[in-house]
Amino acid sequence: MQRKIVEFANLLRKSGLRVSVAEAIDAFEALDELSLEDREVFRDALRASLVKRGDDVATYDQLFDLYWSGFHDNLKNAFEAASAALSADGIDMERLLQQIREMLESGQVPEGELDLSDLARALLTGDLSELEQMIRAAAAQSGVARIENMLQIGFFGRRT
Amino acid sequence: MFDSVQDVQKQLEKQGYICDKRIATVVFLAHRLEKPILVEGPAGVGKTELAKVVAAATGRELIRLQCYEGLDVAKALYEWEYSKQLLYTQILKEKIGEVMEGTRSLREAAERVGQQDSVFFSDQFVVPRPLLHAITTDQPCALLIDEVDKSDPEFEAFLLEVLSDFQVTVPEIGTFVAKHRPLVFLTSNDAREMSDALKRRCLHLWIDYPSEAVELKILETKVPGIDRKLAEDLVAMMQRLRQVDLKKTPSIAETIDWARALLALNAESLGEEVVKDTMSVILKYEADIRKAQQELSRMMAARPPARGPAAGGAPAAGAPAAPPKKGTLH
Repeated sequence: MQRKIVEFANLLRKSGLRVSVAEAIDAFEALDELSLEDREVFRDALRASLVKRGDDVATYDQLFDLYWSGFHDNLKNAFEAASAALSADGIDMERLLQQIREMLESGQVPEGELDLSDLARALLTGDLSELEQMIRAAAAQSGVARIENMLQIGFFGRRT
Repeated sequence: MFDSVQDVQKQLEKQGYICDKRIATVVFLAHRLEKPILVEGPAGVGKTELAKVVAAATGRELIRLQCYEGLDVAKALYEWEYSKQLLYTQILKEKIGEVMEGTRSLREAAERVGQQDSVFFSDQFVVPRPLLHAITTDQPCALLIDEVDKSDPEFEAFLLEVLSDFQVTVPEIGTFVAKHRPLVFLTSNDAREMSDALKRRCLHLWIDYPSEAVELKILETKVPGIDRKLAEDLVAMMQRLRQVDLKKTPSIAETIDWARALLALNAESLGEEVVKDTMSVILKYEADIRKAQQELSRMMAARPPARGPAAGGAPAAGAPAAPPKKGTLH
């Protein structure tokens, strides 16, 4: 549980809230005093320890819902599972993409004949910035935009 | 003492303070963790009231320090009772003469006085101001530092020191350590942001204007005997007024005042005349009253003319039309 609180505090920080270590410790202490079954009480207790500005309350509420509903974890697990599966199959994602890129650039498979969607094209040409923009747009629509650090755990970003 | 969050809510309600679970949770935590609470929010929503009722519910004395710009440490902590010291020197003039006898030089006399000065800077000449009072009191107390946002950063720094250790050193006398940690409430009207260091020490509680249902409950608690329909109309109107861009948005205190005023005038319902006449109870600026008039006429016009049982269904009976966007009256 403590690890999750620290992770949550990190998430808040990345979204602009100023959460100090001392306040994270306050959150631990607060949870010791309360039963963790009531979600509302849990939310209020964390808010009292971690959120010190009226303007930040709305952000906190959104992030709380996203993080503690397991969505954040699901997303992370999905990414990890996908990349693990690919490397288990012996597929070197990097090499594959390189080959496809060469194919597209050299014109061996003329672009006009392949009916590539914008997303597919961005993926194949390794156009990371365009890819990121698309993900952001989709995220904004679904309300996931707030999870800024999640977007940095990308398929491609892991390779460094 | 509080057993649980529900216990807090129940006990506060017994004191006539209606609050939601969120407020009760923070009060419970502050009590258990012995941390101060920084209560922020617009004026008149019940921040100071919260401190009062928690003190009453826990049987603690409420010690109040009202902050203002220029409040210095002396006024908050302690002062020497100068007039008393002067009086004593006058009365004891003879004795002082005896003590000074035999001194041959000014320096010797001064030294001899120096040996005695602990007499005039002792316990009996200290006037404890709220903070020292809170530290030295025998019984557990509640300390309310009201409108802390009005004080200056210098005072805030000093407050930090006191709040962390709850001990104070008077150089001439010694160090006072609190026997019991007080339950500390700091209230702020958001005039300025408190320093990070202070916020870090406290649990934070933001109290906003209440929802319609809660405000109705508060009204019925504070003004017992008010007609249900009148209360509903009143609350609906207040909720609507708060959407308008006013110089001084009316808060719960104003709702209660208005209800009491209407009762005093034996008004049974919110007619246009009555509302116009009592506007000044809830709005204190001419410009606000003008803006509100427009809003209220609109609201009155939109209400169903027949005030039978059909109209009295839902609590939000006063606004069948969609509420206007904010800033419409600019």
